[in-house]
Amino acid sequence: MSNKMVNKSETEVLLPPKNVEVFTTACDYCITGCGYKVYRWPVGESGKPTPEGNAFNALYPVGPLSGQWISENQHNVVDVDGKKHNVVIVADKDTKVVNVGGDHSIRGGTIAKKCYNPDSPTKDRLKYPQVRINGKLERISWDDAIDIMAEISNYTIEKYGVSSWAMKMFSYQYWENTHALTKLAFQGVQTPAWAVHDQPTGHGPDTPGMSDAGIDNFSACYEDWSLADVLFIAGTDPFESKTIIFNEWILPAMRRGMKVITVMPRKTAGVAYAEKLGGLYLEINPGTDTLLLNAMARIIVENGWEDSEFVNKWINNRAELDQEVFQADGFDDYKRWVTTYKYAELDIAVEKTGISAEDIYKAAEMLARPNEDGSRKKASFGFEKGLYWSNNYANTAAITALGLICGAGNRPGQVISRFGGHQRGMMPGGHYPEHLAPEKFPGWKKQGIDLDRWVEEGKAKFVWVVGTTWIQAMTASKRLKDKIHNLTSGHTYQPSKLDKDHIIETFKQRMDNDGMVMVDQDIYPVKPINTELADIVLPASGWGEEDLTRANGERRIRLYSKFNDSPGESLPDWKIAAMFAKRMGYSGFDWKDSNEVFEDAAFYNKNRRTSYVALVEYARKHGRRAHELLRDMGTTGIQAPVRWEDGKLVGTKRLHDSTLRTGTPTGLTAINPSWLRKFKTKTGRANLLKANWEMFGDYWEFMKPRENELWVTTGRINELWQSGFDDQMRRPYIKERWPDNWLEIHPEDAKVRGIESGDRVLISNDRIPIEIGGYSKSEQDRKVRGVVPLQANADIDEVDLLAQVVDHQHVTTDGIRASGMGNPDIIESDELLMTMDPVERPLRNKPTDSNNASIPDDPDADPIMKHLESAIGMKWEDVKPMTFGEMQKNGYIELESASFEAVAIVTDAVKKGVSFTYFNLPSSVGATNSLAGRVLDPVSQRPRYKLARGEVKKIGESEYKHSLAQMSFKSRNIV
Amino acid sequence: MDECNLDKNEHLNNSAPCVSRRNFLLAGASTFVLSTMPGMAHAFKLIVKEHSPLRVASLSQLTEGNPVEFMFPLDNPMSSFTLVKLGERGAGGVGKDQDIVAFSNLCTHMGGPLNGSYKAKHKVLGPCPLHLTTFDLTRHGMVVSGHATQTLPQARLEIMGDDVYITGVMGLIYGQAGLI
Repeated sequence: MSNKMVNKSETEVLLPPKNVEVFTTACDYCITGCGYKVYRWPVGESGKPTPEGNAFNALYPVGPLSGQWISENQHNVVDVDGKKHNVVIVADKDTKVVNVGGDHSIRGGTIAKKCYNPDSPTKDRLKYPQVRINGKLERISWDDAIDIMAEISNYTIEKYGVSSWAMKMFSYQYWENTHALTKLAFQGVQTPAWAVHDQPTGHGPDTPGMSDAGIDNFSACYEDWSLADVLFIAGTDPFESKTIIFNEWILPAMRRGMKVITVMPRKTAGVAYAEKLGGLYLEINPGTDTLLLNAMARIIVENGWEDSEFVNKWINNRAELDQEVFQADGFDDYKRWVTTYKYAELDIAVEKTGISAEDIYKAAEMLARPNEDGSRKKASFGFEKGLYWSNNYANTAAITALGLICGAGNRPGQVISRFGGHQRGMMPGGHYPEHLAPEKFPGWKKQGIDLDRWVEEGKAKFVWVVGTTWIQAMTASKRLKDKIHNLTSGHTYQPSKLDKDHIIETFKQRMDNDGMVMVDQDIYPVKPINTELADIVLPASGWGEEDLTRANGERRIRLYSKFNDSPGESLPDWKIAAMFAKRMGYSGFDWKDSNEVFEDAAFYNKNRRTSYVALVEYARKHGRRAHELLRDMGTTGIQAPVRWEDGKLVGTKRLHDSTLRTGTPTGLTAINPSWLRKFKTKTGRANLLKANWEMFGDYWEFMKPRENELWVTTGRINELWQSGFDDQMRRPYIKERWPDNWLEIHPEDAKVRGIESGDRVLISNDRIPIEIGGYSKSEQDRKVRGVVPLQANADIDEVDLLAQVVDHQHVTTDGIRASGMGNPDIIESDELLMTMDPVERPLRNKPTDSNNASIPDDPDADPIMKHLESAIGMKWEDVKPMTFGEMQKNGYIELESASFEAVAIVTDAVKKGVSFTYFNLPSSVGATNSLAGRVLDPVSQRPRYKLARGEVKKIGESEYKHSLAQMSFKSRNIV
Repeated sequence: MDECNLDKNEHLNNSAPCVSRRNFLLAGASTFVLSTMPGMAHAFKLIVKEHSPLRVASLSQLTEGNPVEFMFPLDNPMSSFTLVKLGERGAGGVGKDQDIVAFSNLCTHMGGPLNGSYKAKHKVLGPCPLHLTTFDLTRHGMVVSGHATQTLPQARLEIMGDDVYITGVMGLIYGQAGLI
């Protein structure tokens, strides 16, 4: 008999009694942002299973789809002002938007277990500020922590310049927090050494081929995914990673007859189900999407299946510059290009993508071939990271061009959009100071700092990390980890006693001896960033512990209500940023609560996609607080940009919506940018872009598996969110399903390696290409990468740096001309350029307006991506020096080794020759991203996470192989 | 109210003291809470509410991969179960090969009916016709893929001679506010 008696109440569900407190919120996790309700009441009471006895007015048992059933994972006990309360957190059964009727994912469905409860696995939440003394974290006060940080920040800014002060932060964890943190970085410190969680930079659009075409990457609404006749999905299965967009919008539409074409190297459940209902699965080799999309576009225009009416009306009919790489001179030029371009040939697409000619043809036909009566099918295009994080610029340009010629982009059910990963939680508090960033690539505008290389090169002296694992999240991260270790906890100078002056002095000495001081702010201990590396660890609060806001993947803004205490002395991120900023003497941080931050941020971002300035003006006019207005709107919220028209607040369903009718603006700030009805270019028409293979092909050839190797690609799955900090690590129900990292491997690939499901395998590669250097003042850096040394750099002692470095002969308003600089290949007549576009076109006068002429006026630009946003107007000679082959020649590439372990799952869901693993689980042995090459897109400087290769070998049997209690090896795509 | 600890492996061998056939059939009307089983028990307490045993199948007529359905404890669709001889050992399975298991037919996502969805090749129940969730019947009804917020409730089975009895249910059945 157990001596641990189980409470009787645990054998029954705790029902919320009548008249309990109810809070609205949305799920903390994926882009979908489902609406939830929190029912809260003091411990000791329980409702009854009869209509008069519970908050749902329900008679139990309740029927299917009732939205009133509560499982054990939907209940928790939390503190409210120090008193124990029950909470039941369930999807809002009454909602008419997003998760209609209370549908939910497994992630959100168990979100009650996210709440801090010291009697649960959440007990290790960070509760107090800590500092590392003799290698061990010890508690200090907030005052002391902030004092130390301010003291050493002032020291490094003064001595080494603002760019020695760095911040690495989440881009999505609520507007109030991101606004305060970026305001600190950009208006306070004014540093260019700043990057977001998922890339080494953080400036410019994530899907640049799409934005250069003039399309906002979250222009669609969820309903659009159910309104098409044919839906083309690339690089994601919404079933696995944005569950309710699939369940509530795509799935019902498929059952009504919508056909779905999916491009993936894995046949996951959503893909298999789409195929079963008459859709088409294109089983692609990683990284080859451009070739597939170009070939499909060629088939379409060769057959005259393009949507001519749309093209004539909505496509720009000329390019901004002659000889530019990407922008077509109208549809005719695009047609000529795509029908003659080598890398739009069907044979090449078949060879590289591994997809049959019949299927490629069929896909083109399904999307674009007019019906017999001459009418067109409505086609929509959605994509995500498999597409844009393998070949960023070209893939996003190619899918957008394909969508545009099919008539998609600006009408209900005819959209081109990202599906999304995390929710949209960035609300900038300043402009990225690109004038302080040292790089200016040939012919190209300023580049933001690559923070990984910046740190590795020893340029950062102080780094503040907020809410990200950083290291494992980055590609080829082993070098970064080793370097950060050497700079911080492995450095000679370590505080040896809990004394503020001693700590400050030691940190200064470390900075003066090529070291770095690191602060990490998070909600949990995170391996290794704050468990092994950070000097100061700050406890943050999170979802449900503060009133916060952000938007989901259809720009829907909701209030995420506070309903319980945050543990210990933990504080919201915005408050920590404000405390530090005030200690530094910066103004503009005197917020009393998160609503004040929210209202302030509105005016700074009034032309943003997620603009809500009208909401704030409306609230003020009516004597309300903006957060309270949002609270009234509950789980429905309002879709941004928010407009105040004819006296009412109106949401915007989709962007570039040619069918949109607006009213008369009421507020002071009219929200009526041209891109609400037109495309986001100066003309309002979209650009067709020519997606070339040359700027990527050399890298792909290098990265493709050698003999014995497999592709090692990564992604998300349904059961886990991000790095698994909530679920995979601390939710027993999920942990038993996924106790460890895993690798999906095709049965034939497994058999030759003697691998069975449940075996422990080692995945390794010793030829991982990584980009290094580039930030010195060497002649090569100056010439090839246009590096302008910063005054801020301590190792530079020239007086007038800019004058000395910039050779005026080679500088135009467009940037630095590559001719005569660096590698002589750059100026040679370039046969690649000729291959890409063999037809000589007459020269035209350049617009006087320099580059980016088709990009909208500055007021519409995102403060963070301002001036860093477009490749329109680039020439091949501008792009080429940054291609893999050229960088190799110039000595910017090194090869590294890395490995990770996983439990094998043998399944034919994954393509032969390809293996798949979760993208980032700090609890596993080794980082899966460490095998991905760190060579950024030459145009967008975005990472190529999805491309890695490795040898896979069995190293033993996992404990799960013969267990019936943990981990399942069953096929995940049974439909 | 009765309670016992149960070692995982013992349980898998179906020889744990608390849930041995004798104990099950002889214990009075009570609720068993099997609270500290490694793995599973962390996730959901193995809650067994005991009922008078109901005969649900005969061993000699069960064939591998061919499920039978029954209602328990009430004669309504909210009490529907699938019983199947998996053909391989299943957690909590009974019979000579410990491969006879039974699970609730109500998906623990939103209550979709799993009746008739058994996939003999995979030993999986599902996909749920509503939103495609699947459950691994060899592993206590663990979610294979999908959205359910708890494992599929599993029947406690007992064998006497040629008769298969259900004696209780582990876990909360969809729709219920407490154990049935």
